[in-house]
Amino acid sequence: MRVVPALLAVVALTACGDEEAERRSQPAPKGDPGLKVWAAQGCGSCHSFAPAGSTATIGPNLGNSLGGRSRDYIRQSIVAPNADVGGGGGGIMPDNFAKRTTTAELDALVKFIAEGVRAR
Amino acid sequence: MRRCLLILPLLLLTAPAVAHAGGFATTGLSSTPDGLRAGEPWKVELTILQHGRTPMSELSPEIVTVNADGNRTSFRAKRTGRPGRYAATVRFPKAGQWRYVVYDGFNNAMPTTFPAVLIRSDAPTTTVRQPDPVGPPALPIVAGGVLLLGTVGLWLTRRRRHPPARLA
Repeated sequence: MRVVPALLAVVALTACGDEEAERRSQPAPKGDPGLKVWAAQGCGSCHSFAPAGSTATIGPNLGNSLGGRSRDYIRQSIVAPNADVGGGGGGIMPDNFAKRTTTAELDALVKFIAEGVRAR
Repeated sequence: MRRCLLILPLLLLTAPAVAHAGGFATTGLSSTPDGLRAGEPWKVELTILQHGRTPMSELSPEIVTVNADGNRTSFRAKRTGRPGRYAATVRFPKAGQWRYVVYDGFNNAMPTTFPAVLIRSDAPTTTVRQPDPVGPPALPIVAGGVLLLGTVGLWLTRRRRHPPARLA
């Protein structure tokens, strides 16, 4: 009579394998919403930022300029980029991103950058 | 004349700088190819703004895809008629990891780059059907078990009817 439980175990293990194969065939999760905002706003045309695959050198490398900064500072750097420009004078970054993005988009972009630069 | 000959090399040297004196342009994408399948069209609109502000409408931008082997394919973006807007249809012919780069046609020396994207297989639901657990592969095991149970049962029944003779 011990044969029956053994047979049941074999059947159960075969069923588990089927479930695993199905899980592997699931589509990959969609990308970061912050990356979509980054791409839509053309941030990568000026800034280097490794998580976004950007290598441009017109503006500062965000890994360097925003590393360790707070999320509030990052937000301010996007919506009011001339508020804290080193060396005085105005920067070349457009200052109209607050008008060009929704609050949700801006939040997603700040989160994306903050996670990429390990903000405080 | 001698002065002209001195100035000419200087002009040639400064020509590239003069060409980019208009500054830079930002290129925004209406979507990314994230989640796309091989061969599926990626219809994307480019917004090109000089200094991130002024739409630029007289350019010839293109999107270049690069596969894992480094092979490049160029897709030209066409003007849409709206200021600074261009439309392109890009296809990644095979599944796998791809890179894509956007040349704005204004400052091609510095293209806009993006993270690599994983293009999925072209068949929407090509999950390999696993064999039915109680189908052909499991059948010999089940049959063997039934046969074994039958044999044991038969042996027990016969033993009960004809107990082995005891030695005196």
